[in-house]
Amino acid sequence: MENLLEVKGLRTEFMTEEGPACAVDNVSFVIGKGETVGLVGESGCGKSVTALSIMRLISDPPGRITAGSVLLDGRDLLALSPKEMRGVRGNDISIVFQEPLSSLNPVFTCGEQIREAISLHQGLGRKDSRAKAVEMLRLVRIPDPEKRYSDYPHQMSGGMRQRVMIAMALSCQPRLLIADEPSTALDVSVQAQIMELLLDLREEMEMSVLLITHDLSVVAQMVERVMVMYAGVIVEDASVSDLFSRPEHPYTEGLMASIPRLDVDVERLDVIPGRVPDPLRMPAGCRFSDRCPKRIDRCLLEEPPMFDTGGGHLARCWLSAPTP
Amino acid sequence: MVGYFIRRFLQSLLLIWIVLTITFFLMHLAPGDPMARYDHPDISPETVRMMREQLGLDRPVLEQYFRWAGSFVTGDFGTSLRYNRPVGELLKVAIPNTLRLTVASLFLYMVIGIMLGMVSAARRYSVFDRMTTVISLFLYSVPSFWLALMLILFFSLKLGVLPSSHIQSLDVSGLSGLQLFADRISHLILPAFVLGVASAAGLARYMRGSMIDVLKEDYIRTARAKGLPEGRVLMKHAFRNAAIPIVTIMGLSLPFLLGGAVIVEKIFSWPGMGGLMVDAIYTRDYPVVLAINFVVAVMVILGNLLADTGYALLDPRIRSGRRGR
Amino acid sequence: MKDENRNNDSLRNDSLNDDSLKDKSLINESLIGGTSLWSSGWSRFRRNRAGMAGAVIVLCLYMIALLAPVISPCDPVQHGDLPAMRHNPPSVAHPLGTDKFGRDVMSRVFYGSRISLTVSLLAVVIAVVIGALVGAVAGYSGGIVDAVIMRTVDALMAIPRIFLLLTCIALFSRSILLIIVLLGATSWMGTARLVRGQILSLRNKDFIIAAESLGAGSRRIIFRHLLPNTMTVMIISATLRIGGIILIEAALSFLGLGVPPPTASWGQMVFEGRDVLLGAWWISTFPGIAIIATVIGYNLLGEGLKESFDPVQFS
Repeated sequence: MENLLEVKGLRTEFMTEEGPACAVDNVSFVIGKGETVGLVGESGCGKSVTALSIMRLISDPPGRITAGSVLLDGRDLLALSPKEMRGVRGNDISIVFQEPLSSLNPVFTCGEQIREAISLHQGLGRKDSRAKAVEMLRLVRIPDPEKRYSDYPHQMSGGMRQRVMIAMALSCQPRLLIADEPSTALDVSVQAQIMELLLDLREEMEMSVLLITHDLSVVAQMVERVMVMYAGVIVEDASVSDLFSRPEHPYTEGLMASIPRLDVDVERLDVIPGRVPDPLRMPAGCRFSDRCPKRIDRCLLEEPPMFDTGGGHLARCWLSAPTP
Repeated sequence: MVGYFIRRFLQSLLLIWIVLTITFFLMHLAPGDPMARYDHPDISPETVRMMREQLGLDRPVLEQYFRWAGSFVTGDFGTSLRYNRPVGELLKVAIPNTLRLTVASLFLYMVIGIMLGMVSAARRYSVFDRMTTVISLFLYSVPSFWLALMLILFFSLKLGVLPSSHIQSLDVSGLSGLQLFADRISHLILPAFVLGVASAAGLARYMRGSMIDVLKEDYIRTARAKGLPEGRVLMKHAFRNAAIPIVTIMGLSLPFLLGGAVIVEKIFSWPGMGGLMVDAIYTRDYPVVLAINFVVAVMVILGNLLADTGYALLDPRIRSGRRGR
Repeated sequence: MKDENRNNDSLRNDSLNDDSLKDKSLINESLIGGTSLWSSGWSRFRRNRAGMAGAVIVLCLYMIALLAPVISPCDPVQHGDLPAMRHNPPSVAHPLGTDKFGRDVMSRVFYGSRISLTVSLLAVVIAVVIGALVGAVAGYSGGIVDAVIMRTVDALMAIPRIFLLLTCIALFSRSILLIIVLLGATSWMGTARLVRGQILSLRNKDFIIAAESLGAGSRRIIFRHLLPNTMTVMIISATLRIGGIILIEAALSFLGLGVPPPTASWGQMVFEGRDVLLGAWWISTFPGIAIIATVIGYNLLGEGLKESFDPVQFS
């Protein structure tokens, strides 16, 4: 499979009163053409910052991308001029945010907000871009799209708003869609519908998807490959079946143990003890070392590199180190 | 939307009625007989008696109130004691002049206040932003009469480029239409600047704060994620939202503009309501004083009604009758 | 449809959260009012450079007013030798020049600070007292009393303050006491609104309900329980209002309708220099700068206090 997106050594820092805090550190991964990849981790682990860094939407100040490259079809997005980058946003790469309530501008109609992106990137006139926007509303299965075009965000339900966000993101046939917790803020029943919609549209539009979520169970149904993120670094990267059948990193095991399972009778959910480390006071060795049940001495001293445990299954853990 | 407008309209009517009542009480608040103040050798007892009758002061208070309120509402404000002419006639000249000044000031106020605020917000903590903050603080604290004198000293007396008083040159007979227009504009510049720019300092601070709040919103990130140029993000997506509270602020600033007009008109010998008011105070010309109070209050209330309508038009959440977050 | 309901709920929750936030800050700032919270406010204020600058300016002005007889080079009212002393430009003997009666402008500016500072301070006290009483009564009574009071406040706020003041001045004969009372009596509306809002949020607090159930009368509840808890807010709003009162007092004096002569007041001094602007610019310029300095001082101080003690209430 050909690579669409290649992230290498990405590092994003935020200035705080106590000095720079590194939210994303040395993150590298690839997304193939047409591939759907999940990025999983607890809130605050750097998933969203990774997504915003790819889009170069980190607000500066306080944030700044200090190292790395983001190659889209071999073109380094971090080296583009602001103007060139605007041509990529919404056109080659689109993003759907978590909060459909606050992510739509309350003073413009939903249709206008979609139309704006279309006319910007495709140079269509008002009439043509409007027709296209209505088409997009139809595509995301909003009933009566002609009429709903003129609705304001507050006149729509949460699920409908998220459909509008998706329509906006897909309006220019992007090659990569980043979905940042697209269903988290919604009702459980609506969540499933939105996920199903994304799944269908992905097939239809032949795009790559980076699905960001804190919920491993969502990932299992949606994606082909999963990256697990912890405290700003990727700790495991594997195909879904590999990950679920033989998790390498103790953190991944902990995450899996905390998924409620219907088929196994468990007394209680295993929740990982401890807290995510403060980005200003990272442990010297492995970042998970202070919570890890399988910690060895080396973990406290030295940060492990990514080890290939076979078949492209990567893990950042000394226990996965190949025995010499 | 229609319901909202009707409700606001009725509220405004209620306010106007209360102002009318307050004005009536102001007249009766002063100790003793209101007419005792005209106990003056130049005014004959006959005149006083006629005035008393004209003002209806010989009738029961309640009847006085209704008669008086009725005549006020129909635009009959009585007769000026000083000019011995109907107050309505004096106002007919003064109101358009005051409006010309306040509208020009309001324009300066809006344009300067909004632009400074937006640029400050977009370039937060820049040199420009800090400069604007300092200048705003200064203008906010400067007495308008002093600012006016300093500008007159500099632009009229030292440089001689702008006229220091009156609405137009004394002799305008030889001027063409365009020249007359230019002449009037040149007379308008200094007073409108004093009145508008000093208040614009406050508006700029509000606008800056409002823009900074809006720029933190998720939908601004969405607009950027769409690939919109920063200018469009600011001017279209941020501005429309930031302007909503600003419309209310503009309505609320009307009393300050009209109040400031009192001083500015006096200094620049501008023949408007403010100057008329001050002269009426010196000569204790009561009917004029009360009429001007009433007219100014009505202007403020109607201005606020206008601002609220603008608010509703800008905010679709109110327009569709449901208050959003 | 189900979704729609959920949104409404979340909206309601948001507003609840807002309220509880406001309440929390109230508790922080006033209900407990413990020394630690006060001292944390003070330490925040000490680190607020603009606020400290304002405090220093205001303090200096009060020193000048207090020490005016000591630091003034000349008598502020005594006429100089005319015509030799008339309209002398700034010199070593008269650092800010002399006016048309040969009086020393610097001495007059020093003495003028007494008028501005006393008048504005007393007026703001009157304004805050009236505003607090009116606001407390409106907020505590609720219903029709509240409606009548608040609509009257709205109507009074629709008449620009200077018009209201001028009208009252025309009704009565002029004196310094009258000016103070009138300035206070026309500046209380904002405070009334603020206090009413505070009272409304305090009204249903447990300790008020407890006091009521113990049979405390409404006067006792207002004075012993409600008003003390709005002190912080009142002091800050008073400080922020002083600048405006100084400006309007100066404007009245400038119009010749303020404190009657021969007392030196800054606004009147600006007026006296008006006709000789080109020849003797110093007469108008320096009192004006004094006014600006005072107003800037109070505004900086007020903003500083607001940011340090009550960042939420005034947002």
